[in-house]
Amino acid sequence: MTPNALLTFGWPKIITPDLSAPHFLERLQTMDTASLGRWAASSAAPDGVLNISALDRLFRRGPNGMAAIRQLVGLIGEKLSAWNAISRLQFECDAFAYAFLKQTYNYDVILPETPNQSGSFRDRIGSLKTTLDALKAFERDGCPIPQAIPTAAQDYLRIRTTLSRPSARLERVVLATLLINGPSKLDELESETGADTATALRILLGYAEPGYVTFEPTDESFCLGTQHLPSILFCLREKMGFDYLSALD
Amino acid sequence: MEFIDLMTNGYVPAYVAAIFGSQVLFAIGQRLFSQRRLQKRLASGLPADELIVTASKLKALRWATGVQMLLFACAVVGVPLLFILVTGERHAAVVFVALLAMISIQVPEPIKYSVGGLAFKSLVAANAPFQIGDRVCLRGIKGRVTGVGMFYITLQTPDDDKVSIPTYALWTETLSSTNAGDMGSLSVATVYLSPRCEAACLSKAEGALAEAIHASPYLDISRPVDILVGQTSTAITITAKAYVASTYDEPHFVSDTLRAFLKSANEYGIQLAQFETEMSS
Repeated sequence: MTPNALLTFGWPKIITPDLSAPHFLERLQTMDTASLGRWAASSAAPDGVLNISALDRLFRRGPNGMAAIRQLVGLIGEKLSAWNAISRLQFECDAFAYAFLKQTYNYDVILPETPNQSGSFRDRIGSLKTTLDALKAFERDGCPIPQAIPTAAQDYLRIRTTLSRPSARLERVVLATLLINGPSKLDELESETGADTATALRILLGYAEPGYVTFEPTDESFCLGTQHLPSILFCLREKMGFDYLSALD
Repeated sequence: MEFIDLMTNGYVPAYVAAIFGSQVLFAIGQRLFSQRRLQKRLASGLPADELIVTASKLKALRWATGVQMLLFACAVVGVPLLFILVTGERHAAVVFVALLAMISIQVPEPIKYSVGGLAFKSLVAANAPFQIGDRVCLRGIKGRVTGVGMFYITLQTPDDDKVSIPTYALWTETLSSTNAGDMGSLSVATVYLSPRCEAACLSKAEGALAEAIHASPYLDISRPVDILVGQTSTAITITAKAYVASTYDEPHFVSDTLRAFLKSANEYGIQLAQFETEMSS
């Protein structure tokens, strides 16, 4: 049985911790195959799908950041007979994190996307691309952004002003890191971006005020705000060169 | 006698004026178009500097050069035909052909530079040996292409100097572009390990370098990463070849990679080469 990935947009809070990827890894490490099989059968949905959320929290783009997800994949393979009781093992994963896993370590082979995903990122990718095209036309020729596009010109201009400056290199790095790594604590961002505490805080708090970055007090993590994500994606694409949406095609 | 009369009867100066006038008109039109576009951008609240640097500029260059070449060809070929048709002096064709033959045999310098420059600009637009925004090396000068004109290619050097290289001088030069129209380019980083490093240590080092590369936000993840092991007389080398997503970020990419690798080397106890000790011993 090959597990599947269901691409998600944004970084939703973990509603059922018991069915999240970090807890699932703990179960894989501690439970024997038979117990795991019973737990999987009891936790699966009526259609037999065992849905595990937040796979993206199980790795970080950084040195030694892949250890946990590698272990997860290895243990799933080791305990194959545990999955006989369910029809599908499905992992929810943020789309940009999946793009990274797919392009760098070919995870789409071991973790292909669930076919015919409804209500997932695949429903949004079209409108996201349309928004980026509209922003490109606006940026290149000053063509007005159509009203149907949810991003307003003023919002884009505000983000552009702060991200396009030559001196905003670290700001772009922080946002690019948050895009792939999802919710991140200050110390994690410090070690991954090379920014010191004061600089990282200055950037994050500065971006939290207009809503580009959100702060989650329960686990003291920072995360990209989805409302401004198209503008951030566009600015990062044009300034840093990477196009994660194309990587998902 | 008739030939001399025709050469001095005003048609030839008018012909030359038509050729140069068409180019002047083109330059004025292009400037007006750019200004209109800039006004539109400014009216939308955008600043003068552009965020998009690559693909759209090649399209604009191709369009502009196409129009410029068309105007030039029309002026060179079309104007004599028009004169002949309007005046009915069919033997004037001999004069224009003789004039073109004279110019092509004994080319005056301004014409050589103008036609040569226009032809080179067309070559750049059509074949794209480099594009606006590329990091290039032309006549030994390294820099970023900021403009492709009829007379000059302008570069911005790493020291922020503006260098204008005459286009006619580039016909016989080797043209080198780091990113060849792409936004990204290949980047190479080498680390030096102790020659006493064993297989396990080497394997750890290769893994650490690969992780360090993948950790950098500047990496173009859609392109391959190569890790190659080599040896010198004083060290084992591991060379990483990877593509940076934006060629302008290459120094930061290498810096990021080495910083992350050195951190891992410290954690895993990877033995690095000790050049000073070995050289002094």
